[in-house]
Amino acid sequence: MVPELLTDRLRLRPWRLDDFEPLAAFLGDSELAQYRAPVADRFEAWKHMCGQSGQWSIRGYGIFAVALRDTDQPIGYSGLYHPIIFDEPELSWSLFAGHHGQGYATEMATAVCRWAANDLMRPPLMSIVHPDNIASIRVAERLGAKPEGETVYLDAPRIVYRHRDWRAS
Amino acid sequence: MTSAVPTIETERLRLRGWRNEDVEPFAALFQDEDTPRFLGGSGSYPQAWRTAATEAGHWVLRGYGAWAVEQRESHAFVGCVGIWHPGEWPEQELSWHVVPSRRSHGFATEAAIASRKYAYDTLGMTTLVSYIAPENAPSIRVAERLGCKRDGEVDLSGKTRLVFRHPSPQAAQ
Repeated sequence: MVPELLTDRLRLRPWRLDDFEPLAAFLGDSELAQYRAPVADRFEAWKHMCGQSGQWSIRGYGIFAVALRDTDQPIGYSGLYHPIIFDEPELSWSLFAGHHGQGYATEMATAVCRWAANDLMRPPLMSIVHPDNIASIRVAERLGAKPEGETVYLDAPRIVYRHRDWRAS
Repeated sequence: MTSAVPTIETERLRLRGWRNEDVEPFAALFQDEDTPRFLGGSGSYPQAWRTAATEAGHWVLRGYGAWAVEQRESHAFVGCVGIWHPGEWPEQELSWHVVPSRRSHGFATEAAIASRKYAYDTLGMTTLVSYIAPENAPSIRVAERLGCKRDGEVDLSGKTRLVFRHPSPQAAQ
């Protein structure tokens, strides 16, 4: 089961069918989604949404849909992304268009850090960030993460950030 | 863990929810020269993992989906059979994919009959189709064994597929 996490302004919850349109719009936005794997069309977006839901069934953890607490409007997603090519889960976060600059990414990623540390007992997590993705680098820094090294993901160099230990916080 | 996927047993097979350890045998489908053309894309292990997660997530989002299928006695992984309905597709599809080492035993037909019965009797579906590439002769034979009739063609993400319509719930009894 996917738990529900609440923050001051946000609800992290399971994906639902009616989240598909905002998710597909995000995945199809070449500027917003430029640092992630390209999604060619709506069928690929559908498979992506199923895959995010299904990782929970296979791994027991995954990516939450993130919605505004007041309206339940989906504004992005955050959670632990762990495809088979990663040897540990990645803390990831993304915001849909129109929701940047309000601290939402930091707020949702903080909730995921606490949940991963205290409910899943995970050791400090990593995040993979494109060096040009200034907004995400700022989020990583606000979360107290430190650059740990470099890797290549989706044919581009990436910075690997290591998050701090959130256990008992 | 999401455990909403029902387990169904047939004479020789068990249809059940997806597990991480299914990925390795499932990857054989993606190494097979013929299969990726029909299942979409190429690659093996990462793609098998993504596809398994996608199949598992379909259950979460729709409340039904495709099962991981194994042999009852040996637990050997057989393939992926069940109901699949992407947002854009016109209808619910009954699909089957059997790994190369388990083909020619009638497993696709056996699992598809169980899936169809579940779709009709438990989910209350009233019709089902299977979309098959024109050159996929083995799958067309399975559709014929299942009593399907040709019902035109459809364009799925730019690929032409033959539409095979399954017998109605009454006729499939």
